[in-house]
Amino acid sequence: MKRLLSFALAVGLVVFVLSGCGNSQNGAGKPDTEAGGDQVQAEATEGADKPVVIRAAVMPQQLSLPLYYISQQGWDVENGFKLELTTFQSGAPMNEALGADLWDVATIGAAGVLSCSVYDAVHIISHEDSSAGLDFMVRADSDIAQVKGYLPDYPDVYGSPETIKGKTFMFPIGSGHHLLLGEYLNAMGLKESDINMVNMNHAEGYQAFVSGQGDFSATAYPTTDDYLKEGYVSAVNMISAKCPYYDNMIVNRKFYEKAENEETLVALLTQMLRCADAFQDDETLLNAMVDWYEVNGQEVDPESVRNQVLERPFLTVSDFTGADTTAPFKRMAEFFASIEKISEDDLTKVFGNIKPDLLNKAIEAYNK
Amino acid sequence: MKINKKVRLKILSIVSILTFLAVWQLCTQVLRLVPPTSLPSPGKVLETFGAKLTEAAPDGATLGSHIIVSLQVSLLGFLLGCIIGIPLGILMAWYKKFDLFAKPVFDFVRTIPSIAWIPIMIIILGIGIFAKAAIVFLSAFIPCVINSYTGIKATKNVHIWVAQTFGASWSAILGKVAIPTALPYIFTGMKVSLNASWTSLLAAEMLGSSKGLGFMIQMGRLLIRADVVVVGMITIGLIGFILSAGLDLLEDRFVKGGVQ
Repeated sequence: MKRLLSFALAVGLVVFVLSGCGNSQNGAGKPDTEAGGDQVQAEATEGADKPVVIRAAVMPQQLSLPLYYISQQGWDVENGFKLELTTFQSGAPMNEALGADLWDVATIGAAGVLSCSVYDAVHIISHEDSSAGLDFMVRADSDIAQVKGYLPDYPDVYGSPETIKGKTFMFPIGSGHHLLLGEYLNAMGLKESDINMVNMNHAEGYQAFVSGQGDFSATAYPTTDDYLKEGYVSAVNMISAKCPYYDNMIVNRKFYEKAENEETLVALLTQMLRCADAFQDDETLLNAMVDWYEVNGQEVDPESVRNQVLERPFLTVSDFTGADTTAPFKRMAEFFASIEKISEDDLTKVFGNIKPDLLNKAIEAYNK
Repeated sequence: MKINKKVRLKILSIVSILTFLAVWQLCTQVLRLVPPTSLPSPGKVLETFGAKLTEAAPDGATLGSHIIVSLQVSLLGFLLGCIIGIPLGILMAWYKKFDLFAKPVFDFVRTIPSIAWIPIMIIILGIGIFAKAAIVFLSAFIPCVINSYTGIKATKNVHIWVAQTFGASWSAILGKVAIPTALPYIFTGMKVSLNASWTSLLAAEMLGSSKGLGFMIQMGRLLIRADVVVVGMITIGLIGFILSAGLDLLEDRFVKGGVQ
């Protein structure tokens, strides 16, 4: 009897531990309203005056500035929703938090492709052109820096197949830099197997590069300026490689599928457009960004960050007219599929999860 | 009768593993208590394990390549930890003046987590295998020093007196009395070090890498491939188990008796 009890207890414990790994959701993408639609409706009626809370995942970077600004200006509450910001350092932990259903919307870069492929999240807008500042740096005395404009179509790109072959690239694998590397190698007629790739974050990469390691180091703002000041050369960047890179807003599938949230998401996107218009004024954008840095514990001199802030514009209504602003996101997804980071099925899923309808409604509402 | 008992105990161990796998399968595949993105089923893990033997996707290298790279790093760090740590512990325990000289630095260093050394290692040793092995070494050598030290200190005075009575020199007492006494402790230290070296492998492979089991786990995390993460974990567990069994064999070969 004792043995039987012990066995049952052991099994129960294992079940408890394993079930603890999951979350309360009954299945991926299954809306909560199915379980208690009447109750939800009753709550919605009761709290009609209360703003809808949007749990927003942000990064202490420029891509998340609009959400902070909307919240600071009170544009959220006056339009029927309330933003609750949670800060993440990068896209990877953001995705993990999405798996645990910890946020409703997020501003995200390349990792958004995985949000859409794995967690069925929905891409609703590419809101910022963040191509500037994403570079691969080389040393001024390296053989790479001695060859400029090897490819006539890319006059500002340094290096040639001979000087690049066998070299070591330090960058965060699976990031926008990976896409840039892919474009660079492709243009030069090389493959990933022709070079050495080392997975490193920007800060560690900088440290390693200045202490003599590697041949190419991936940079992003604000360290890009540090490299340039120290005399390093930008061998290739998103602009010189003609590879636009936009940041995006992603919505948790569960939040997206609740019919009553559609209006809220349109309202949020409308405020994003309002924000982008406000940021066309350089001083407003710069001051807001300096403020956002300070909120995240970084003291910066406005003049030292002026260029890097102004070089990454937010997209306005006119940018969305007649242009496919989701093209960089699709290109990123295609690249991930080409290097087998995601499968072809995942790629189809990502494309299917790009939904421009809410943005179109927001543009319509904003233009009224 | 004795054999039957042995067999029964082995069956109990196998049943425990099978029960764990069955409950895992039940929770993930049948009851679906856990989404596959958080915890894949044993079947999916097995499938990924098989696929990774020949396929490089999605992390850029086959399981075999990852294992070789990780073995190089962890064994280099572990062996350095043993080669430096064991004599250091013995010398500290045997020579009081050396102990007074080395212990303050050792006590200071041992409290620093190996991951904290990463920035320093990049500057000093770069991003190659030696920097990673150095991180592993820092984790591995501490248990070696502590256990060797404790083992030598555990030598009974009466044994030393007997050796002295028979005219043994101080170094002969160390070699023929103290070290044999300390061997069980030293082997325990080596086992703890081996464990520590694999634990710090993941941190070491954060130090710029493109292959290795730690790298594979990191890529699995980045790409939200829990199956790849679990395959990496299980592989580390299996290798650790095999290496630990090897140390047990060595212990059986060299250690007479055991810790009293």
